[in-house]
Amino acid sequence: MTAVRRTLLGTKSGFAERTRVYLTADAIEVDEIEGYTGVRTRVLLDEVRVITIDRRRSSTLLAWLGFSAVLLFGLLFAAMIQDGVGWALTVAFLVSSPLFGSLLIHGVFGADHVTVFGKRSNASMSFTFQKAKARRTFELLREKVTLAQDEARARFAAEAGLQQDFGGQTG
Amino acid sequence: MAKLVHRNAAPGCPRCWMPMQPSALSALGDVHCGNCDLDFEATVFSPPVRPAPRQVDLTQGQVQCARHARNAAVASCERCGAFMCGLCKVDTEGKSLCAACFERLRTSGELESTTTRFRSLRTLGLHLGILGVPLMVMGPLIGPASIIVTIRGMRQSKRDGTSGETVGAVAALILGTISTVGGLFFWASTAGSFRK
Repeated sequence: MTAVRRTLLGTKSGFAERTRVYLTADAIEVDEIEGYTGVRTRVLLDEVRVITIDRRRSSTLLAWLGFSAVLLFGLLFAAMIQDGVGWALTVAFLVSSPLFGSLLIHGVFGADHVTVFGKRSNASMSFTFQKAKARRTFELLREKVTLAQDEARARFAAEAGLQQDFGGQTG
Repeated sequence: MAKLVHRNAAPGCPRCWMPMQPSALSALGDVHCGNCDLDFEATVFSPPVRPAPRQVDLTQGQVQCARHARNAAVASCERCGAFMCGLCKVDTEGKSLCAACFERLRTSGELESTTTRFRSLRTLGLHLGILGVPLMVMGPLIGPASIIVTIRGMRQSKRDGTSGETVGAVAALILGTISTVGGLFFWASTAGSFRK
């Protein structure tokens, strides 16, 4: 059995599902995993129509940011004014601060999204912390798609020529 | 349902999925979506179209397609050798196959690139590993299950040709080992206290 080599390009996570996007020799493979079941779709490189890159902020995450900021600074304030439970509230503050920190990074810097529109299906991936990687992925995909479509054009031209003399060459 | 729409949406805005004309997308610089106010950069491609098969001209010594007698053959199948026209030719995993051979290989699961459904064993292994730590009493059951499922998941990734992504698998193996050893220790110490 021949294994198709593929490299991870990027991921995207929703509330209940995760998407992993891979690059293979002739296609972009999209693994959508919901629970423990995955559905695999492919965007063929020679059928790509548009590739986009954009930076955006999720309104849901921004709402969470506001909510957690109120909660976090409320805890901090309570820790400062309360006697006895101050240590517990400080621990709660320290535990919740990484989540708050990541939400804050998303609020300030946003997330870069690379989207590939194919003829029959699409692929989308987001990059929260690695903006340079998002740009590199965008450039890599542009290069691969251009190459694949040039090759396909040459192949189709050769096929059109073969239609005329295929019989002559073999017979 | 909404996810299916996004999966197959026509080229347009990548946030609200509003379809756009190719002329609007190929504008220089950033493209602006009037529907959701998103600015994005787009590169538009013109995918090549396979030429329509030509009619066979037997007087010119051309070969006819095995399935479509009117069409001229462009290649022969690498599995069965049948002559095939542009309509029948399927290029997959570096091979040119006829439609019948492609269908047979796809049905028998010999073409990796046609897999559309799979079970994410590595996710299951990691979740079992995480679950095994607080439920250490059941560690001798959950821990080995996590290790076995993770190893099967790693084999699955190898079959798929996926490189890297070992962090989750290593974490699952460590957690599985911790819950197994912890569970065995718990039961051994419980048995020891009963003997006393």
